[in-house]
Amino acid sequence: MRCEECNNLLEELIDGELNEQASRSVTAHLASCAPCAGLHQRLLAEHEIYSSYERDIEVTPILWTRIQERISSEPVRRSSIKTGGTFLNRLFGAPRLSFSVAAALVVFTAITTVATIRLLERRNVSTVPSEIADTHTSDEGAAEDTQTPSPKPDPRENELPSAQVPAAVKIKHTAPPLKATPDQLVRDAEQKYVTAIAILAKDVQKRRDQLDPVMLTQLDLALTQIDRTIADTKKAMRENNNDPNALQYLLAAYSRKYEVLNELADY
Amino acid sequence: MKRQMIDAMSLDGRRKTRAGALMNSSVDLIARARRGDDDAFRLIFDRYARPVSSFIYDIVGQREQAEELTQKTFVRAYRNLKGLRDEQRLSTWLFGIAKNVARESIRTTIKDRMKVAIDDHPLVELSDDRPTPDGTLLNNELNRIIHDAIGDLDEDKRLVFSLKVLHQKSYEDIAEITGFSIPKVKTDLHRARAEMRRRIRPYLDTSAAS
Ligand SMILES: [Zn+2]
Repeated sequence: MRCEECNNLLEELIDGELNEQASRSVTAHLASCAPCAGLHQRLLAEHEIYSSYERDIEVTPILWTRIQERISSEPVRRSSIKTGGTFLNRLFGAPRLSFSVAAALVVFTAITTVATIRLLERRNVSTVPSEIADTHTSDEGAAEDTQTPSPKPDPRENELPSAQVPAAVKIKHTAPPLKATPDQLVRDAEQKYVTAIAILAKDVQKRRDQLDPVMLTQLDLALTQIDRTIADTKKAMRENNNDPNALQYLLAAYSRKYEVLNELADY
Repeated sequence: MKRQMIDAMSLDGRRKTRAGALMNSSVDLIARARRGDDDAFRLIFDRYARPVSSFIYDIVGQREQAEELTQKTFVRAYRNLKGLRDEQRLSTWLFGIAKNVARESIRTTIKDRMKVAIDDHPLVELSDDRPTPDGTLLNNELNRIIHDAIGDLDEDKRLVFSLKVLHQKSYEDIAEITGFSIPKVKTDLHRARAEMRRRIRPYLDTSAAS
């Protein structure tokens, strides 16, 4: 190989773009030609300098937040509103309550759930007005409930979840279970779960960076499945006139959703 | 239906963790992102935000602008996910979008500058007067010189220099990102190296002597 030929191939050698044969020829020439070897060394030194080049930039979390804001209005999302990931993102903007409030809400919900089931068992189920069916006319999961106005809006639903904490306490202490209608109690319980879930989801969302991506994928799958169950139970309640069994499943599904998120918040 | 409910109740997130490990390949992430899964797109962002933004920075030379254009790149990528034919070439595809976004921005900036006729050099912020430890002084100065020199390359050379020397892309990938032929990539790269060499020569001699 002549020097000129070698020189023409030196950059490609450094770039790793030479095939094996050419690479071997150039290397052989470098071993026996001092001027070409010097040129090669100089190129390597140049590259060392470039590899030490530090740019004055960093990728901040705000950047992703801004991207997410922009893409959240994209049509592609609308078809998949029920996925777990979307659920978390939809809750991202929900008012922040403390972690302990989330736990307290679930404790309260458990009390309400028991009261509701007892009440339904005591009463003739067929006399219960089917307001739940009116409230949830579609098969949408809990993710929808936090933000989508229902066809017959309950005034309470327009308030922030935080504003409902005193209301919940009021129901607990002042309203005897027999005076509250079962659907009211169900709706209260549901709302408390939705709020508690929102708090946890936000917590998890905040910590996403620290969580294993595989875990997150599983979380999304789990939540999607639970949301489907919630939708199915709601449908069953409509079709079977507020069947207490379906109600039990519905609240259990909410409870499971809470658990899944809680598990992840502790992870 | 009950069976299905019970299955959902007993769903154990941790048990399936290992099976899910396969789900984060580029192909899978793209498929999920196409269905509107923001979390999948977030993982794509996490993987590529840094190389993409540093590439844009190489081309436009200004930090704030690079950040803004990185945002634009990923929003555009999200909107065009369906246009990505070969999922294995996600990186090349993203760099291609970044290149377009950066070039568009340069066009706009040039027009603006012609109006204002002021050259507010982006590097002023790097050469501030804060006391610098001796060890990093050379680095800072060298960073500034490299940054300046890249900025002085013409646009085509800047693109290929950044993609090859600073991002280690193959000639083939560079051709795909830039739309240049491979001979042009090689020629521009050779010329870019020569121009850069003239600028960093003092440092090159120092490091060669030591
Ligand atoms: Zn020679």
